[in-house]
Amino acid sequence: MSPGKAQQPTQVNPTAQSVKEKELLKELQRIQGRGTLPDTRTRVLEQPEGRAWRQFHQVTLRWIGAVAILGMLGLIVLFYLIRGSVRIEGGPSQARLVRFNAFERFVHWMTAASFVVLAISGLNITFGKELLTPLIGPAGFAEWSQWAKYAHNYLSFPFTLGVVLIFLMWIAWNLPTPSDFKWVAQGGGIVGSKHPPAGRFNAGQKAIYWIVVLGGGAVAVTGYLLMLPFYATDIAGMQLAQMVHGVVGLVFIAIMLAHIYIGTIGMQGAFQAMGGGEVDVNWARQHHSLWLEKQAKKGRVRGAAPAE
Amino acid sequence: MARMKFLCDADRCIECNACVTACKNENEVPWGINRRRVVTINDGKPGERSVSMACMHCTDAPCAAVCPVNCFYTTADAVVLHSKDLCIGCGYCFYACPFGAPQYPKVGNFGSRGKMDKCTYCAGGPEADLTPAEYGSRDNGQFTGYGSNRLAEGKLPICAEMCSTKSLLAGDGEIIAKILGAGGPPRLQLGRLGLADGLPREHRVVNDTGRAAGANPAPYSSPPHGGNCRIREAKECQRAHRSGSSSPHCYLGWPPCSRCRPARRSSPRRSIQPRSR
Repeated sequence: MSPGKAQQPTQVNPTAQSVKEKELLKELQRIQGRGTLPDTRTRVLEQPEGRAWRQFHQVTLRWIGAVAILGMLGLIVLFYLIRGSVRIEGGPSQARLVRFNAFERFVHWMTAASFVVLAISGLNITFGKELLTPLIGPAGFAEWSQWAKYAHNYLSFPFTLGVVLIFLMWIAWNLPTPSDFKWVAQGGGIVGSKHPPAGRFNAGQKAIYWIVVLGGGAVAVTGYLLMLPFYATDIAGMQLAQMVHGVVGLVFIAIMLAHIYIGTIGMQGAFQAMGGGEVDVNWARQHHSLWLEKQAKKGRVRGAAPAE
Repeated sequence: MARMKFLCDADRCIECNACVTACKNENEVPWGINRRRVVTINDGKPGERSVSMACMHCTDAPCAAVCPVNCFYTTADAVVLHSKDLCIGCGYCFYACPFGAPQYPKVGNFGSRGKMDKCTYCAGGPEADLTPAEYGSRDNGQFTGYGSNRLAEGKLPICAEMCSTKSLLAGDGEIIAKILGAGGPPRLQLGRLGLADGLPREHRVVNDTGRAAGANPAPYSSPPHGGNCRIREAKECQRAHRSGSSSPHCYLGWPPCSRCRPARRSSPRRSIQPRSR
């Protein structure tokens, strides 16, 4: 190998293959190379998916949230105006029975209270700056958002614990049964006075249970991925986690608005179940007749003998 | 009004990381944060290219659009800056940025993000210019400030100044685009295009206190070597022009200053010739 051979011009012309900056900026795929810094994320030169994520977060997610939440509020108001509050047939009696014990009520309220704060602080991230900055100014809004973020991060733990306990506590009563299909077919008795029989939880409540468990699980998993950034995912994973967290969260809020409505003003005698734990027998006969029969057989009904 | 931009010529970048080091030093960037980074594509293969990348100071900045607390703002020079006081460390700016410019010291709760930090075009932040509050200090691993504010002193970002091959250019977008687009070594182009101002800092007009002349000095106001030129620069200029180069411009691409022009009255010696007696 003579030294002269090394002097030959190469067949490759690197300059001809060089990329103009305009092409780099028009590229739609992630461009990744090699780098010398210890942080491996610096190897990515360009990730154009950020553009798509921006469009989703600023436009699409807000539409989803507005339609879901405002739409649900509108439906609830309409329903109340048309149907009104569902009254107990025959009026409240003196006989009562225990529906939820202390532990169940504790878990529910821990989850519910966390959910409300999580919902408000979460909505603040997506909608807050347009709605609140004109009221409290940018510095005030940033301070409020900082504390909202802390609340969101720390209350995620009792919320997740609550979801897990709810799953374990009530799984036995939330598996589908034949009475559920009849209940759904009759629309749950929501219109008219004919009320289909139901067990401890009717099909609507079972739907809420599974939405809470699966939806709550989804927001919990994606939320922890967001809270511990890049621990288990790369940038694409983080963007996906944020999108799932946002969509599931907003739909969750909309559904919980309906749940809160029906448990408070939507149905007479319903709040007592989770409030004090005991419910009226007439209410139980109207909405959960199969459950009432079982409880009566076990001798758990207190007070005057049930009328009719 | 000038729109400040960065341009990196991938053909000239040699991955020396001088820009990275200069930035980290000048702005005392904390450990783990890399405002500027060099990425090498096709490493070891023909067509290997390196690019120095930091914040691109976008016109329609995605980081500013997605920030939940609107902590970003754009200066009159089209530099995108942000306020660490308003930042809540949510990380959305990093998801949206196509270039990965926002960085976070991992000092937030649960070891997650703290206040976002990014390339400021050496233009500081919302605090008053050139104050210690703006420069910042270490506070529990978090850098509370924004680093040096060179733009307020009429200087360009240190990364572009330090670039060993002049592949990273910073300045008015139109001017540096012309330099890059003209092809060939940027130094010669500067003279050819009549763009004798704006680049290397040692040729900028400065007065005795070392601060740029004028309130908001545009780096492109007047040619160097006029009037208040520092002695060091003139000496360098004289050396360049007396070197016998056949080009009318010195090796840095500048036309000769008034002090040097007398030295150029005689035509350059093209070859060694015996002196006539």
